[in-house]
Amino acid sequence: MQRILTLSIVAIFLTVFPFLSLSKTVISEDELNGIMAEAGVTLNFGTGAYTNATMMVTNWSPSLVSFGDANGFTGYASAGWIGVSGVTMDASSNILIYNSLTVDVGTSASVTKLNLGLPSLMIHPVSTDATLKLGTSQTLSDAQPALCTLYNDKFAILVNPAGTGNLTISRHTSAQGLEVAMSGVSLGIPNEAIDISIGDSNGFTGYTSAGYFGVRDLLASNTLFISFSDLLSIDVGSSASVTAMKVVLPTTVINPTQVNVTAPLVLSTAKTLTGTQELGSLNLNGFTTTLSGQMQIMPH
Amino acid sequence: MRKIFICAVAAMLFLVTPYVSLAKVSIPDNELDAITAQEGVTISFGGTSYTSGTILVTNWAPSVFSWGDGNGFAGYTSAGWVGLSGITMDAAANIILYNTMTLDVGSSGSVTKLNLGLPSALIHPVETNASVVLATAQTLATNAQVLGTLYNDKFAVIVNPLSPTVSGNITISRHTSTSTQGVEMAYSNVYLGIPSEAIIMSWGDADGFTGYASAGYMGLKNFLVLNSNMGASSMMLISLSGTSSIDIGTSAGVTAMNVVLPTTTINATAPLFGGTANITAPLAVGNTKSFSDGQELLGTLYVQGMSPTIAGSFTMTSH
Repeated sequence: MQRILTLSIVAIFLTVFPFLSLSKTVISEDELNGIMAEAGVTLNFGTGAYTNATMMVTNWSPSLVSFGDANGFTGYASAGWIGVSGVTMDASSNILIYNSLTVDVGTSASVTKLNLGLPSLMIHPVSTDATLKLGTSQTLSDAQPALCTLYNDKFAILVNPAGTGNLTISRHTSAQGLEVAMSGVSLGIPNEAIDISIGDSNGFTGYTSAGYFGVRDLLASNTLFISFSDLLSIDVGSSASVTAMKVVLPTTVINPTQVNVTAPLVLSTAKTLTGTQELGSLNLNGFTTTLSGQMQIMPH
Repeated sequence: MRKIFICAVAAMLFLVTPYVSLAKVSIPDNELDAITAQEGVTISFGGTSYTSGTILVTNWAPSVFSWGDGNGFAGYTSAGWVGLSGITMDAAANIILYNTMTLDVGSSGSVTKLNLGLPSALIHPVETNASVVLATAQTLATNAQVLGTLYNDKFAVIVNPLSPTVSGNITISRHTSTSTQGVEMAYSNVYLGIPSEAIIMSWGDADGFTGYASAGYMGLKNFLVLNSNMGASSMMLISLSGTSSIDIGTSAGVTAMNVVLPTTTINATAPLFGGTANITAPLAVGNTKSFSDGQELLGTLYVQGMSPTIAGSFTMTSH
């Protein structure tokens, strides 16, 4: 009888024990204050306008920067690289960082994504020269011709000027390549007269010397905005020593606030568009253009 | 007469004695070597390469490391702490000290500063895990605000790598303009070197964001730098100059850190060798800290000839 009683007590103890761990205890305010489940970083670089920026980057131009993809895309399944080489800028070029950056990384069903709440940037390249190239290696040094050369006398672009943009970045579901989901992202081009040109070092039949095409004193009547939403994807691949880039554009709206644009179009033998080969001046009022779709870019 | 003569001799002796003490005697070099008027400490840790370092530090990872500030900064004026918790490293992690350190402390008016002539140090963490935390107490356990987690498979940073030819110096004080707590550091010729070795580094987030609420990691898988001008000692240099300050404060349970950066040049031109490092940065996201889950890279970023300079300040909080 005593043995049965003892076993009964032990059985009751073992049965009840797990539930003891569920007993509810009042948690004090102090203890609650110690609980902050969410991880993530917020960096604040000053608030409002770029004149309040607390961070400045100078001398930021690389001589070469390239982005590579190991497995390309259909038809160009070997590794490929896209980038700019021979980059130079004036020493007065700078970047101002303002508003807040947030960083989170999360996973759902084995897919990991990086979520960036964008800060605002005022990117200010001055007297920029660069050569846009595709290549089979990171140095872009193979024999493929350049796509073009780029030049501006001065330029400024505001990234996420409203401070509300968000990017979610991942690779493709089963292959290398960049996917960027955009929400509330915009660029702003201030109303400052600028010269921009693209150059071709070897022209075409009958006109085989270098030539340049661009706009001289391109001017918007106010800040010209470009907004982005939905998905951008970029792949770069090679086939038989030809490299190509495939771009799926996000939904892109140019000039949603309908500022007026004056674009004097010029051909020239010089990147600075000197000379008298002016085609005329394009004046654009009341346009808001939406782009979407995809394209492939390759040299010839 | 004899008395007068004795007095005259005694008087002459007293008059001449002071001039005798001015007589010039040559002091040998070995005696001069022993004379140094300036007070301060110099500590030598061996030769000019980490292979000739005389001090080895092992097992150097604490489990918690925090830095506190009693009066914060504007908007966050209660005490705050920043640091690392849950730190672990492999037993192979070590630090090697070499070259020479000097130590002086001085005052001007009522302001005292510590002046450190930096030694060189090869800091070599291996398989590092740590959580970056802001908190209201030194243990980082009270009101802990986790920013994220850090991981590297291996890493090395060389502090003051070009000494003794280019020797770094840091002057440390509290805020001198406001006489408040907080650290101010003035840098002169301070360089950090990241050796040319492929490394994995990741930043982790335990709870992600809407739709992707499980833990995720982003970082670099086999990040590599190479400055061919530097031969076997190839590294990427980061130079620090000017003044930096760090304050941590709390307001209504939220802790924030305010950092004024020194003028920082990433991938600075190597003073003794020339050139900058080429950087290969394979960009990765994954659900494991070491990116061993098999997810493909986003792609690889390659940069040549980039040497940006950053200056300014920012405030960091968790969310």
